[in-house]
Amino acid sequence: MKPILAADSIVKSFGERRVLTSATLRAVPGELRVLLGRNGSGKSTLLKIAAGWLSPDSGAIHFHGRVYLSVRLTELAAAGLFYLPDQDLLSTAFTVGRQLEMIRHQFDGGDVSAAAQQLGVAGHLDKRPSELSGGERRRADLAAGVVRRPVCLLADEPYRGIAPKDAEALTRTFVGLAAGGMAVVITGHEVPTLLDTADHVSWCTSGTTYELGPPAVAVQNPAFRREYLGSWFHSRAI
Amino acid sequence: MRPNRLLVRAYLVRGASLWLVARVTLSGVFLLAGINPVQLSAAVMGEIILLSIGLSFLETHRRRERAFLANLAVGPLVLGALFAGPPIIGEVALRIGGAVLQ
Repeated sequence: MKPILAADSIVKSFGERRVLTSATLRAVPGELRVLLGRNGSGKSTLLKIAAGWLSPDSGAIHFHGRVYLSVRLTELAAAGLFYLPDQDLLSTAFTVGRQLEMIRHQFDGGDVSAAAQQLGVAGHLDKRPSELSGGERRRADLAAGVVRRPVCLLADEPYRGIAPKDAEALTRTFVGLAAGGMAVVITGHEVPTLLDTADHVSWCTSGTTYELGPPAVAVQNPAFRREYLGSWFHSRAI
Repeated sequence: MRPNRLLVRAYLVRGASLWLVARVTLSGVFLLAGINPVQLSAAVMGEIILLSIGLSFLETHRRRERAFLANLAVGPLVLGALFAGPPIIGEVALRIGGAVLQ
């Protein structure tokens, strides 16, 4: 299927340090794609650029039939993108329920109670995010994405610092959203979890990206195994 | 994209609260300096409005709400307009009230 989002030939430097030399990211409807890479490889930077959260030095963002050389998240969000940053999304100023209602009203979104139920935060709708644990906040953030019902969801390290039980709820939701036709791209280092759930693996290394294909194919890639997965990884885990 | 009424209300309340805090504090300073706080020049009123808008943006930054608002397709211009509303109305109301009482 044709990608709904494509960040093509992205170049980005921070001062003297060139993080991305020619990187590409694609989000395809109905697919859960994972972007893997070592710390500092530029995967978060690439996701931020694809989301309009950071400007590239050069390259183009294609989203929903339009091409942007420079774009902000506000514009992409209006067109159907939802970006989960690697930090907390929801504000500590308002209750979780109120913020989910704001999203529902803004985009004629999905049912707040159903989304909260799905992510296991139904009992926390009257609380502010600051009253929740890290895992609960992450699930509440994703509930916001579920209420939004975007065409494309980009999630930066959604599993970071959360317990396996919370991770399960996130995984179920990501898989369900992709199965429902949404284009989902997530980054992270939780290799077994991510490879278990992904339809497609992209690898970010040395400032560029490689499309490795389905996880079963990706883990057979010698360079990927040698430079990222390491010797502990056995392909039979997939 | 136009913000919905829930969002408008929430951020108008923030704008109004921070203007009130700034205005009460500055009024105390003006009184100590022997200046009538309801009969300020237009320039000073403008500065108070700008200060209130700045405080509201600082609060938004402190709460790390940029990504949340951007995901709602609400940009800084719209947010600035929401934050500007209460202090403008408040300052104009004080000015009119001060003139009437005089």
